Amino acid sequence: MNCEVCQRELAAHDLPDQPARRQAAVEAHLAQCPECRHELAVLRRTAALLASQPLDEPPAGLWQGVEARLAQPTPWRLPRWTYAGAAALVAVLAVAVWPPAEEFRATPYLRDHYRVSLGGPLGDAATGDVLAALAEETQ
Amino acid sequence: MKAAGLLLLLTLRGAVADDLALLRLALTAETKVARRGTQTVQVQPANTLVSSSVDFACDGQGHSRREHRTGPSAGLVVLSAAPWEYRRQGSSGSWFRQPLTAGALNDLTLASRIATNYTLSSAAGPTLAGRPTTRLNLTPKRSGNPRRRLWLDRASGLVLQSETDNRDGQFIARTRYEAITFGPVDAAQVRLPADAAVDRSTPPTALVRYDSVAAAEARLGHRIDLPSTPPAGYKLAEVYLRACRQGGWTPVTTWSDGVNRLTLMATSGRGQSRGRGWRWGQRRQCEVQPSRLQLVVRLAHGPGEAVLVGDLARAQLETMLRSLP
Repeated sequence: MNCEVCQRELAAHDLPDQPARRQAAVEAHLAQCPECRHELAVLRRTAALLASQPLDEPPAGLWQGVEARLAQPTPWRLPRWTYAGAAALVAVLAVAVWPPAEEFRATPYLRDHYRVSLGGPLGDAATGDVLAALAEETQ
Repeated sequence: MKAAGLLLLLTLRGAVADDLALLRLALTAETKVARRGTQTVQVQPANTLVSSSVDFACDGQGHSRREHRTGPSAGLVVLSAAPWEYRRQGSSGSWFRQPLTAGALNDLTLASRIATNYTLSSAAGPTLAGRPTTRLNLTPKRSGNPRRRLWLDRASGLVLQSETDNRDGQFIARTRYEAITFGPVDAAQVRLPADAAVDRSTPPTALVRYDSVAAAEARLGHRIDLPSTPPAGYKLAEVYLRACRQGGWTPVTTWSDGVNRLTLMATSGRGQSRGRGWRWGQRRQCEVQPSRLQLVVRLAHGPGEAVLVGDLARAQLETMLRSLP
């Protein structure tokens, strides 16, 4: 048995009902290894210290409370990333569904302007007809 | 020296008075001189010149006919008989009636307004359609307005050729008689036939003229917003109501300095709820669609928007629109 195996077995060395062959092998190694004996001594002091501390009693009704919580249905929750994804989706849909600014179609206004503003008294009535027709063509 | 200065002043005043008399003569001749002839109309909306040939006849008693033989409006026949104008596209079909838009001002008032806003000057002109002419220039006193040149028949004062430069001084239109014959015309040629089918129903976007803003407001049922700051020299000329495709009527007003005209139109129920991109953060932003011929400027106004069309410097159009209450 080497030191690594021995120190792994030391935690259970003082417990009752350990296999006799393993206990004998540990004892044989300890007899010739001061480092492992020191490790065993540290473990035993730690165990003694823990055994000397009083045990705290759990609050009354702790377990009943745990049981009651366990009996409640688990609330439905989404992973956090889904909230961010949903927000992004809403933003995209808002842009897509909200109509874009209407293209400014000036043709109807030009046509009416030519109807009421040309055909004046200075020999250019026919010019208004042509301009109105051109406005219609560009519609 | 003083006498020479006085003589020069009197000569100049005389010249101005002569030019104003020429202008009055031209305004009167348009409806009072009986003639028939062929006109060429040339319009330059962009780089290309668009030409049309038009047969024209006038009986000298307020009835006239023009028939477009070629060009963008080929087939259009227009019969004018104040206060109406009848239009027919093609040789068959109904005539559509709409108000004649020759202007509400009489010739004297109109000439006075033109002389107020334009500098008149005249010179000898070339022979056009076999007739000697006098050239009359109408130069705007304020920048940003279009310029007109008229070639008047020396005998009758009729405008034989008219040219217009836009607000930037670029040529945009010319109307010229290629051939003309003075004298009576056949009444049947310029009057609506007795059995003509006239469609008097209100076509979409029809314009109905009213004698006053008050009359239009009475029909409309509410007040018509008018701009408090029209461009210098411009005054309210006419008021119309326009039938909307969606039903109802919207006001249309025209504004004139005697030569140039602006048309202010209102639309209903669109300006406040337009889509993204137009009004965010720019509540009173004008949108302008420029062209060589006209500027179209719109601005949100009330529940709708206001649209102003005219050949005038952009800043002046925007100022007028923004002065709407």
